[in-house]
Amino acid sequence: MIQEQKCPNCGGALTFDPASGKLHCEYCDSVFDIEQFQQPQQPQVNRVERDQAMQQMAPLPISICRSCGAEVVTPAQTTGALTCPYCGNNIVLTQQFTGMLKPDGIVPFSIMPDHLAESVQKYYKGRKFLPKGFFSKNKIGPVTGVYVPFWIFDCDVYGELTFRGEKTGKSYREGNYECTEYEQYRIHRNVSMSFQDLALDASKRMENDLMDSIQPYDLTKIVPFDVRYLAGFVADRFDEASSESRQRSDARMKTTGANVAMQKATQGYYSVSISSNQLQVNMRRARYVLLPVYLLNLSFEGTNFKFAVNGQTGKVEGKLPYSKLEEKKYYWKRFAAGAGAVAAIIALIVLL
Amino acid sequence: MKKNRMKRILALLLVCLLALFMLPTAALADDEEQSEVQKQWRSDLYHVGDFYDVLAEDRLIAINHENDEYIVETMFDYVVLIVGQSSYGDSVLTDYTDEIYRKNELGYGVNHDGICLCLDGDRVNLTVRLYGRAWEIFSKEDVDQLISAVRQGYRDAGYEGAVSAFLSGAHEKVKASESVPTNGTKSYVASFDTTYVSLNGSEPATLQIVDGQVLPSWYVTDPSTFVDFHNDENEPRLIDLADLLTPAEETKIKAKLANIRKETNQDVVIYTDITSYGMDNELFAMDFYVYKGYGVGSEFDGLVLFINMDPDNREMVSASFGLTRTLFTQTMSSRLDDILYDHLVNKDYYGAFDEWTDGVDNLLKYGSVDIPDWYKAYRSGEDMSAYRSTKLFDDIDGIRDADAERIEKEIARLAEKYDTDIVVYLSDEAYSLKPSQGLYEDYPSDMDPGEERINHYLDTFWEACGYGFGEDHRGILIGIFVDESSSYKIQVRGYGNATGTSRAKKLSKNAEERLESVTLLNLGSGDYDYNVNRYLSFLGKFLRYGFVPHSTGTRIFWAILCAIGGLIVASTTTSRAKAKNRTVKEAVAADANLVQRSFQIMGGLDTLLGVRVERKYIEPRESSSSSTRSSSGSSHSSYSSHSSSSSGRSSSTSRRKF
Repeated sequence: MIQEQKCPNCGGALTFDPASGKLHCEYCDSVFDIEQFQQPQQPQVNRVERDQAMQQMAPLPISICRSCGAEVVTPAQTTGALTCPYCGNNIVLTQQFTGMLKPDGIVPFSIMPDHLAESVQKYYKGRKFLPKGFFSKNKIGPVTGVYVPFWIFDCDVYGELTFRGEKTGKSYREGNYECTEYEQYRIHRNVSMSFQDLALDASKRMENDLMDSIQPYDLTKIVPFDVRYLAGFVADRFDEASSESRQRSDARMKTTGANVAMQKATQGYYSVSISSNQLQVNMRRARYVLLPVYLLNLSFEGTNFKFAVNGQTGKVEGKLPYSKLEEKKYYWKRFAAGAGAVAAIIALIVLL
Repeated sequence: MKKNRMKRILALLLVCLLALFMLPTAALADDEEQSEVQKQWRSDLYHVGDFYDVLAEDRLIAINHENDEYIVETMFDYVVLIVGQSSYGDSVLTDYTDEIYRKNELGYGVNHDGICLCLDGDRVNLTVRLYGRAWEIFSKEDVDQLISAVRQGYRDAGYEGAVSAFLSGAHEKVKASESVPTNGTKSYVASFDTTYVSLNGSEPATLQIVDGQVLPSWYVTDPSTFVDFHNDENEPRLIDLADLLTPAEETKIKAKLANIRKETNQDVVIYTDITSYGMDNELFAMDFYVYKGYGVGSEFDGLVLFINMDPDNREMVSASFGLTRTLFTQTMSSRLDDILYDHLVNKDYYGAFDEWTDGVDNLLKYGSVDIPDWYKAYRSGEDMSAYRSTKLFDDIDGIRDADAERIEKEIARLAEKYDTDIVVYLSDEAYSLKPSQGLYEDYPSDMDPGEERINHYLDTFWEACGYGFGEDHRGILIGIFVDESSSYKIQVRGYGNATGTSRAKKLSKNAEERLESVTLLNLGSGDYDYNVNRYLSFLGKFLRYGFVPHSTGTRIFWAILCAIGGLIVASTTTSRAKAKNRTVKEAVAADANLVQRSFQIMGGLDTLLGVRVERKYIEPRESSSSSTRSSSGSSHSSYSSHSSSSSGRSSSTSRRKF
């Protein structure tokens, strides 16, 4: 079933306005609360076997980009052209699927896309080593608001850690030598700790480094999923099961767990190094949530550089070109400045 | 059986009778042999006895063996006793010597012919005793000569020298005599009493014995009884009790000392001895100066030099008093000590006193021990034109004549071309200070800082010799001070317009230092010709361009310095810029998602694997020692010197072992 939101006054299509958090009619300028329409279903929580449960959710329309193969969820059947958030091409939706799993929640867009180009320019303005002409010749492509699927994990971590550490023993004197003993220990610790709201993107198409960099999101602002939040945006469909994402999330939590344990559980020792990490992760809860991301491409000399903007906080992250030539120029300019300064000092000393 | 027993008894009786008959015969033979030995000499005794423990055991044995040969050869006994005061207590040395000789039955033959020398180490006395036919062999002059030889031997090699001198001298005399061993009376005869004399040669009248200790007669044991007097013209200014000088040499030195006193109105006294009578040399010298009434004027101006030739306490000590103290600085006293030391270690005593007296003469007249000829000439008002015409003043003979001539020509060319007088002065010292002795260092005890001292010296040289062109005496002088240890100091001075009415030609402080630094190159190699030429080359450039160009080496050094500065700045700023240019990165931890206070330690076990020991070496702490001056330097003496405190005279001293 295709869900389309139409204005009760003029019949025009309604879009979600991030600034007001309401539905807006671009034709008659009417504004409506989301609650005036259909109440969304309550998100299901505490379901460990999320993948199976998802299969039973109500279907949503899915379109496939013929150019890059991206599957996106559109809020309503669209007859016109749609910009693919990944490849930036205007694509014609060639096929529509149903069966999109319904998310447990959504964080709606909070910022407008109006000034994102300026934010991106501000982001790269102070950077060194950009190619010559980058500032004047780069071209910022259209901005696409995308709800990116994320897995939100709450986990308990427990287990045994082994460190090697050293502590100062007694000091004494032997002839003309002052002797200090250093005792070397094997340190075993059984520890436990909890992690909450660890968000990992559930889309293979989204680059992990980009999605990690624009975090954090304020997940207290998660609201129950309502398809009307998608009005005016597109939503990506998850293609990475929670079991796949857990490999990465478990590794991150174990790393943090070991670091924290090394700090807190080996006090009195110095020169501590970890020799064995036997931590285990017990997942308490996994949630499937859509988080708001603006995507845009910056093209320079035929190459696209992808930028992402946190749709909730406005944090900009992206990849920039790097010029070795500019780095060398920068280096030699500073070299000349330093040598000149020393020469000036010498001249001053000699003249005085 | 009875017959056999009787035979045995008779045989036994016979054997006993024979034994009784033989026994008195053997005893008589022993007596006769012993009596014959006693008639000759006591070969079972050491005839050189060291009861003062000053001779090494092996040396004592060797001397005795040699002496035994003398005795046998001449049939005359030579006895030497070295004793301390405790050996004979309150007795007289001569009586003690006779008693020892008699009790031990020393001497050769029935008349105990022999000669005995007894040395008292505590009182530094000696006596010579003659026995038997010795009175026929030794006249009084012979004994005096023998005593002189003993003193000389003592000065040269201590007690061993004294003993050897005595034995060889006496042996030679006896060997040369025609006297034969006398047979007759057994009485001990001492031909005459040689009267005990001091080992150091002073007359008995110059000594006093207080509480059993020998002291000089001038020494005041109770300072409260001392009546202050000074400027005693009748007192000799040279007292040579160590007998270091011949009478003729003494006369020359005395004349010099008298002349110094007359011209400078300051007293200069030299005193030599072979002992300080158990007192500290420095304080003994000061006591000598005070109690003998030396010093001129109310401040007792003057200087005393005391040479102690005691082999165990050999030292030279100088002490200055009154106004002389202001001239007798640490630098000057060290210089005077150097002069003495160089001669004394070679036993050139006259040379030491002669040169030392000249140095003191210079010090008291001009304020420095070493005074260059040009300064003496200047002070005496001589014509300085000969000095003025010399532009290369080489006091150290470091430049060969041919090179000197070439340098003089170059100097003349530059001087004429730029109308500026140019002088090069090479010397090994200034104000008695060589570069290796801190010519350019600041001594706390001396008034002037090193550089000012040299500047003043060079300015005096320039003024005294009358250098400089025109009314303003314009010119540039370089002083190169190099000594035998290759230590050096260079100073450039500008005078008159050379120091700059013309901005381009201004000899600034910087230009002076530049000229000095370019001249310093390779100066340690002793190639002064190269250095002077290098200096003149750069001086010519300065006179032409108004600045002293830097050498290639200096420029390369600066370039390296600049490059290092550039590298540091470039590396630092680039690495910072790279850090700022960070790009997106995949997260590897989940620190922000850790629930605070959820971390718990459920249990643990710490297992000791081993112990590593680090050892750090600590420098052993040296015990601090202070050179506190002891008033009594010898353990043999119970007297301490006290002149400086008792008389209230201020003095400064210097001392050195040699």
